[in-house]
Amino acid sequence: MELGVVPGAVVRVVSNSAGPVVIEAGSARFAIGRGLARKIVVEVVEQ
Amino acid sequence: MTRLAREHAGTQPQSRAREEGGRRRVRVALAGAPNVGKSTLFNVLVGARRFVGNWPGKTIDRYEGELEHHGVVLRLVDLPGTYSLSALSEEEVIARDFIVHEKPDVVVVVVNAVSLETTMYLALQVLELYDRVVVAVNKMDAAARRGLHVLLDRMSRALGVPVVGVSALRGEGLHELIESVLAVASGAARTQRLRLNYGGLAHYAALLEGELGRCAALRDYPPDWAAVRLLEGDSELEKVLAEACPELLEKARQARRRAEEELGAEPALLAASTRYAFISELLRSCVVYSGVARKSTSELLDKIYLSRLLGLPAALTTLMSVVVVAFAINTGFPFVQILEALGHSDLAELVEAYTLSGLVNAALSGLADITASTLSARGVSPLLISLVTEGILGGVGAILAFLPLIFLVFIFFGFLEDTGVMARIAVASHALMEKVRLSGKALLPLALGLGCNVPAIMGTKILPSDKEKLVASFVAPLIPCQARLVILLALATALFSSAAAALTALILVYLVALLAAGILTLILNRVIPPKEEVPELLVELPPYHVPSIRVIWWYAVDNALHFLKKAGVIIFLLSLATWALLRLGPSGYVESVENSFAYIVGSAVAPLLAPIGLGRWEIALALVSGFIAKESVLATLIIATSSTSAAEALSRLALSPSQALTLMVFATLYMPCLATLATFHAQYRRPKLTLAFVAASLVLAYAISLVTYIVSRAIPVV
Repeated sequence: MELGVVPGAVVRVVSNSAGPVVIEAGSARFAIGRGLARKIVVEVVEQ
Repeated sequence: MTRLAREHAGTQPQSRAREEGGRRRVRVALAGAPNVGKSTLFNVLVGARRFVGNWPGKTIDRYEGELEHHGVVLRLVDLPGTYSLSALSEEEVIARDFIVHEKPDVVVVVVNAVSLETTMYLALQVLELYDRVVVAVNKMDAAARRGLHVLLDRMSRALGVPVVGVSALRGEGLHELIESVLAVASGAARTQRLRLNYGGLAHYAALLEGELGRCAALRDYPPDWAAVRLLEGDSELEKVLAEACPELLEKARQARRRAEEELGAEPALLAASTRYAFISELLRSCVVYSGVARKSTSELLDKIYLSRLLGLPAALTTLMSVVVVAFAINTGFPFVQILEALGHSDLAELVEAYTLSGLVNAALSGLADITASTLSARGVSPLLISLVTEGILGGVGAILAFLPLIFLVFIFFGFLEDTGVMARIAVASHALMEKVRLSGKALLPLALGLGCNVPAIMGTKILPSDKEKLVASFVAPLIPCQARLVILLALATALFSSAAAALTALILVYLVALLAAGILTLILNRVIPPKEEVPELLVELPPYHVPSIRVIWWYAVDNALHFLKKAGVIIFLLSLATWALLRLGPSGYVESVENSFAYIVGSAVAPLLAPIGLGRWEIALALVSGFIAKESVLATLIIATSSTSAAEALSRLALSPSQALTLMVFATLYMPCLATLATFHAQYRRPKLTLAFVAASLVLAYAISLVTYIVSRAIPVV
């Protein structure tokens, strides 16, 4: 949450292969573990 | 109602900037999220006038420093880097408690111009908590290169505090920053605490705020701030309430439940959303984009490091090449060995003499020789000469011999960190490390261990949880460091006739050591609470950038000094003790080790080593002396067998191949060396833990050597 992933925020998934998911929120990139990523509910905004 | 005085603490000018010895002193705290360049700013500001300590009762370093500006002394405290002040982690608790209870004259919050969206969150929380704040927008130069312009004046008006643009790296804007700090400290610049409009939440906060005035324990916190935080479920504040005013804790929880029911959302989410809405509104009006950043290189590198197939190999290759370069500079490995294999042994010796450890050793032994001859010319007793040259100089040497290597390892570590590559390595190796229940971040300190175990243990500080720090520190000494590589090389070439057998044995020992590390990690994860904790990865991937030599230099100097200060005394005393063991016996000073206390210890220990095929007093003695530095194992073996070379010593011992292999395994795994032990103790300061640390490595080394001995004897090929 403190990293800018708040309800309503638009994030871009940079990489989602094996291992951690890499997302881009604003101009910052974060790698988050799968356990944590599973707890983020998203809806596809654009492909 | 003393509370009222604080409630409207818009400014409390002058009073805090105290007079001392005719000079004004101003206490400044430096706060900021990770990767904003806070440490760089701190170092630029204070230069050499800085001191390292620990936060009371924590393993987190506390940096303080001083600078003088027109006769005013500014005392800076570098708060731990945190993304917020929610008091969820140890760092956050430290940072928040310092601001709340110590009430510094000014808090400087450093934000990153390149990633304002994320780094402003902490600034906002500080502004909500405290009134005397200056915001420093760092990396203005990097932002400009990306086409980002921050309108500082407008931001300053919106936040109600001075906002200064700086580039810590280039030393730009520092004068203005200091001037702003002094203006806020003296009251010349009027500042106020930021009050956000929390919408529906504000109603519940106001109700709660009235109640909170009754709790004296909350005196240090602004009541409106505390009310919102309690609605969010701040566990530190709840702890305070539970102790001091339990009836209010119940009220706060009721208020939170009511707010959640009536607003239909968790107050914590509502509050965070309010803050982010404020930040995005702020940035929309204060940041101008002109032109897009060039991302091609970054994208390409990220494609490699973050890909499914290439990520892990790329990460490991990067790490290994860094380790090999460090090896080459320090001991010439593998070039010395290649030259020897090609038959150019004179050239190999020359290269070895000019490596870092070659130069240090030459300097130290030269110094010892000069001292010995000067002293003996004056008729000083042999005991005293030995004490000075072998005991004291040896002790100093033990510390000095480690310094260049530690420095070197941190230079490379700093390089990876500063370029942003390290974060990618952590991500790429996470899947691998997860198998032993460590996070990807743990690979880095452990890889440092291949160079030297001391920086490996120091490096575990970067790990997120206390448990992971401890597990990684316990495991680090099992990684064969470079000193052990030297012994292993010597043992392998002396013990095995063919080069192929020697190489196989060497690789085998490394594999066994890694296996042992994996096993110990799994065991520790089951023993150390909290047992159910699974490491969760959360790594910010900062943009790649060109490494700054100054930043890396500070990083290495800081860490090397830290080691010297914390572990130096322990290393010195322990090497004196080992000297006494080797040079003193029942009859006083002894020339040959066979009359020393060490021999007695060696003979006593030898039967214990019999089951693993190493029941010889020479070997036991060598292992005892290997405690100072693992290199001494060889030297002692040579002395104890009265030989002139390692090969001769080993042939006199007439070890079978399986005994040889077991000796290599045991020498690698047993007992962390003195410097490692000292570093471990300095980091945790719990004697029982240090003892457990030693015991674990001894038991593990013994068990694995036993298995190696039995298995290798059963397989006839070896």
